[in-house]
Amino acid sequence: MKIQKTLSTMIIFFIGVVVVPSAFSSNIGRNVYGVFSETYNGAKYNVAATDDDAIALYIWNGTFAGSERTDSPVPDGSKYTRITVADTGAGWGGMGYSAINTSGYKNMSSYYNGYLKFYARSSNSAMLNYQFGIEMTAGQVWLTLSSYGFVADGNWHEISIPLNTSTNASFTSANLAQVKQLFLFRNGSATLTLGHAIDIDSIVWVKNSVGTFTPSLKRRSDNVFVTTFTWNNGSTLSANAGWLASDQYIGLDLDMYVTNKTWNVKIYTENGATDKNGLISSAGKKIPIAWRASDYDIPYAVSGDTRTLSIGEVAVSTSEVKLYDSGVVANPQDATYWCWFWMTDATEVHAETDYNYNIVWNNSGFHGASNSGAFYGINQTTGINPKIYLGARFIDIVGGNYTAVITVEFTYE
Amino acid sequence: MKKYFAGLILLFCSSVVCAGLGVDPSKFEIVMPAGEVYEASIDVKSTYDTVVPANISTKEWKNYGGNNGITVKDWLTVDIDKVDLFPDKPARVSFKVSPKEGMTGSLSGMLSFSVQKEGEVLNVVISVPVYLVIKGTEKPEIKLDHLIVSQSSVTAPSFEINLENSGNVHVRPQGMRISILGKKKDVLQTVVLGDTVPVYTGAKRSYRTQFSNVLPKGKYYAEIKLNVFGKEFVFVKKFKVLKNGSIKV
Repeated sequence: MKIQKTLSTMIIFFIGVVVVPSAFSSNIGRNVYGVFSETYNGAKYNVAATDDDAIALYIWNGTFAGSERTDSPVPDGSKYTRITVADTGAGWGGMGYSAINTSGYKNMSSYYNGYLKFYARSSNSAMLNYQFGIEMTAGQVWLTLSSYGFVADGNWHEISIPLNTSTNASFTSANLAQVKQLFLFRNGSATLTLGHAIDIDSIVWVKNSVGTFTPSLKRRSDNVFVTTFTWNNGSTLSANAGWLASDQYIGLDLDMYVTNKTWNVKIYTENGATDKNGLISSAGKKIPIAWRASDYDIPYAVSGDTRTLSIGEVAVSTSEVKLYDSGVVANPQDATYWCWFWMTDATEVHAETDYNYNIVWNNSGFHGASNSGAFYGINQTTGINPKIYLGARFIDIVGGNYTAVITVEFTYE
Repeated sequence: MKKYFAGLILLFCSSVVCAGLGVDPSKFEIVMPAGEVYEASIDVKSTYDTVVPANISTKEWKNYGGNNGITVKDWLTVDIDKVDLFPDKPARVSFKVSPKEGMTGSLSGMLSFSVQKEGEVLNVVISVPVYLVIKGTEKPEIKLDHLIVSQSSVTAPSFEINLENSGNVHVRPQGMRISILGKKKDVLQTVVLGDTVPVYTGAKRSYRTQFSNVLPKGKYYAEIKLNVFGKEFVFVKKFKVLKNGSIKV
């Protein structure tokens, strides 16, 4: 009996090794694999080699200096990388996003027949001769920027190369199963000149298939998938309990490459009337609801960035009441950051230029507050899964069953 | 007396825990004359592990005001209102665009695909915009509403260009050439705007662009060139770079 049990364990282990090679991870195999992105999950920086997504950026010879910049326009999220020639002594220079997971390579064969894509910008014509590429166990492949749609006109250009033998004979499925560097960059035939610079953003590997957008409802306490929204864990609460966050949140996952960067995710009720923008009872009574987006789980407090699920409201004019984080700002009169948004109904009409009342997430990042420009990029290493929290206002509530249809919509423009 | 009510606010319940939808392509830009028919299709994919029905609907998006009374149903049609989505196998949904005589300028609508099983909490929707311009009726008209030029002593200039669309077609200012000219109107730096969102008829929208090189003290011109349906628009504004690197327009 003892022997049989041991044998059984060994067989299971053996099958596990065969079916799930160690070079695979939960992110490798997604429709889009981000190498440098604030929109797509993928590689992770500064993590242990036991993480199959582990990656590091290496600059050879100290020739290039890399800096993160945030001035708009930014194709993906809120920052891009500027690569500047900082030293010409060696006569050549380059950099690579290297696989530093235990095996030393990543199995990217599922992206065979897909694409390597990135955005590049420079106004310096010397950059036309710079090169980018990939390193596999089978060797390095280098491609010249000017041959793949790059123009040195100071504007962002999307570079896209098919990952198959039409681009280079080495791009076979077998070779892509052992990728040592997911993105390479070097000066190629161009002479290194101090100060020459190029901007790079949104480096991704993309499969040749239709990707998906997935919202899912999860419990706040343990992140388990659930099927209902509740307040107060389903226990009875006072009709004047005030503002309360729901016990669940909506997690968002975008695994669909968006070429033109003109996408957004909206949230709204579909209750059929502008004044039904909340939970509605069969008797027509309403519980107003609000939403808040965040890149991290809330409550959150790191390095002065504190977010709680306490909701406060304050009248900012005779006709407008705004919502803030009352766990951060004690006195309503001190509130200036409007991180909770009133839920609107699909039937509500807004001015053409006012498009931020129901947008949760777009190419700039998650919508942190209704304050102008408050979209924030998301950290790739900690996971790009923005969350939507709901709050409800329990003031003078009449008992009953309250329901709502809540739509989460992904759309292009 | 204190009032109580059941604390369990049940929006909907469901056996499905998450649903993902995908579409390809992501948008349509169609220029065609009234009286003709354009047929196309969209691939729709789901991440459910079972077959799920997706509802198909059309929604209004942004029409030129001269098309008063015309709805999306007058020109954008799908023969079916539901499609079964099988796991890992995109469904192909065909649609027709058939503009009628009398329609003018731009019309647009959304083709939406939604999955909400009975009793489900979330209605998951993915929408694809279809932009239609009636060929032969285009009257593009764009104004520069305002221009904000920014620069510091170490940061190269950036422009915030606010365009006002007073014509009858939506304008996607892709390819707009934005230049900084010297005192003698010689081109010093140029940026070409990439793919971006449209400015709709009767509306204004801002576009930002960034130049590469810091400008020294002096007088300059901002030149913005845009070609819309064969009509060229050129806007020129003078600005000064002050001694401390800041800008005065």
